[in-house]
Amino acid sequence: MTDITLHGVSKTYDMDPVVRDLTLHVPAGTMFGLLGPSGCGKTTILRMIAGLLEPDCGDIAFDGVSVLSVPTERRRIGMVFQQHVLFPHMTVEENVGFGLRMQGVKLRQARPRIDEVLELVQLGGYNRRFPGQLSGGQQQRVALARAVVTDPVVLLLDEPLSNLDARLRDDMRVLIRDVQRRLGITTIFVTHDQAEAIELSDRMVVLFEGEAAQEGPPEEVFERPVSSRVARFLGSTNLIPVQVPVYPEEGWVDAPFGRVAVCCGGYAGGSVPRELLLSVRCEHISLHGEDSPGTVGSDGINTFHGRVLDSVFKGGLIFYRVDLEGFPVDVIDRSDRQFVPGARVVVQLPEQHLWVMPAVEYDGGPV
Amino acid sequence: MSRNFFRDRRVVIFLGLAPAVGTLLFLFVGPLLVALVQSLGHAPIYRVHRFPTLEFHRQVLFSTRFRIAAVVTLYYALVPTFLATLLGVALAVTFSRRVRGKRFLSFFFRLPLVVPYLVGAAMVVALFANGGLIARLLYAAGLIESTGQFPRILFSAGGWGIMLVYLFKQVPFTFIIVTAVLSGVGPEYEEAARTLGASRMQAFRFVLLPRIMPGVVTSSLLVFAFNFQSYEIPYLLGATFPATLPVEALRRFNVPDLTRRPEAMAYVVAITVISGIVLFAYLRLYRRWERSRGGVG
Repeated sequence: MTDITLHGVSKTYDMDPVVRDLTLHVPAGTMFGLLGPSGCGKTTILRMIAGLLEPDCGDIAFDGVSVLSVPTERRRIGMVFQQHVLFPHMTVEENVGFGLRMQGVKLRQARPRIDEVLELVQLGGYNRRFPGQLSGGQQQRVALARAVVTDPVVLLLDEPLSNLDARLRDDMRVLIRDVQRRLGITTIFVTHDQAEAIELSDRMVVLFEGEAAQEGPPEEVFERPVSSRVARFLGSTNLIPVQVPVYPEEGWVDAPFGRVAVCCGGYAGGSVPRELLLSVRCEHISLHGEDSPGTVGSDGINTFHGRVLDSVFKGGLIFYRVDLEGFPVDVIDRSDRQFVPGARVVVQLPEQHLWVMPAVEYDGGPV
Repeated sequence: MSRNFFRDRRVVIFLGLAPAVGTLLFLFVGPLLVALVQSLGHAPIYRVHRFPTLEFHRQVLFSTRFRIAAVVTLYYALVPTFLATLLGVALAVTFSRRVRGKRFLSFFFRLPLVVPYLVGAAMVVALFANGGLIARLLYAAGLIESTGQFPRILFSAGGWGIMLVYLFKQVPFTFIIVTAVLSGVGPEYEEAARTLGASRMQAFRFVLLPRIMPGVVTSSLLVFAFNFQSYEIPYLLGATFPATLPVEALRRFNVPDLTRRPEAMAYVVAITVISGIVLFAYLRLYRRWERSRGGVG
């Protein structure tokens, strides 16, 4: 298993910096997600690791050894492209066996290995078909099989699910995770889909304008965003402006709708700024009817009364907007009952899911 | 005529094709039929009334001059076609990558397309004739003792002058066609091949070339057809003997004895048939290869 290090990597296209002084460490054997909006440099980073682009400065190392002078074909990587990029004039078998053929292995000798990886991606028996005779999902599986057939040390996936419909995406997500775990290859994948990042990755980095905004395990990034920008990008998060009380009390902040108990914060340094943001994901907020005694914690901590402004049913989830003393809070609820707009409700903010961060980038309103 | 008549799909297709098909019949098939009929001995305008006879064809086909001319014509057509395809594809592939000065160089390489073949011939004469610019430069540099020592490139059986003019025009032509095809293919196929361990050359051979084959085949077919059938450049820059089939045909047209005109027509028919056979065989081979690759190139 190979670990990958990017140290101070930058890349500029036509005077436009795409990746800026990026330093990253991808531990061996992990599934590492590069998450960010379009144009943030995710694919450029992947292409630099593959050797398809040269960084302007900085270093890229596999197991501590720089690979900058190693051409793509000798980096021992496998790559799955966003558009599959199967060779249309070759059969599935020839596509999958292409890497082995480049190593000098004859197709007849390569067949057992080809069959093995085709079975791995659940495409056994498709050997003689041409890419044009396959569905989008099958083509993506062939692309995955082709990328892993040579036992690469690093697997790079460029938005591998973006061209698939919702059902195929779910199947393929499971398959990619399964293949990566079985083979134990260090894998880096690019995505702009937050759900995909949280489900697939062991660790992930959020990128904005070519810079790493936050890196860590997905739960940490989602639960404890370092900035309002990260929180907003990850979506389904309420950002509530709060203040440290004039007479500070350990673990309490003042929100527009009352005093809130918090247990952790993402601000660095000794002095805590007075203006802060409280982040809480919509699905972590509990909603109860005012007439449902016993459902709210008896101590009443972080419990607030509000009024439902809007409710939208989306499959098994109900999306609410609740007014808390003039401040709108978004809630995602999984329960069976639905509150109608105007209903009086009790909102509970769970202390362990509240996260406080500096308010520097905050520009108001819930996300 | 009812309005429905013009809504009939077959009528619409017929009307759409009619101008092109009509022009083709009028300018190509018609004259070819006239040539065939005259070569078979029906040319009352030249006082030849021997239809049907294969005598003129026999005279032409069994002559040594024809056989030599056929070989020379194939040689002058095939060699520049091969070289133009090779150089045009190489240029197109090179320019499909990031190359410094790509815009200017690409414009520069396309320039010969706007220059007529005859101007190309004049340029080749000015450069490569024994009294031409290169011979004089070599003489001035003291590399040759007289301009007469400069190797004979023009008006020789080797046909170097003819092939130079063809290349001057046809490399840019192939470059443009293949560039257009390459822009549709995109760089990702080569990149995918390289991530799978292929060198640039292997990626080109196994992945890119099959993808651009339709463009390569089309351009080489057009180039070969032109080279095989053109007469002006071999007439201007070729040797008196051996000459190409079109030049031999032209010479027979210019014979004062008009009763020999069917001989010239037999040459015209032969040129068309040989060219057609070569192009058909080439296309057939390509289609067979394409079918073996699942109908995609």
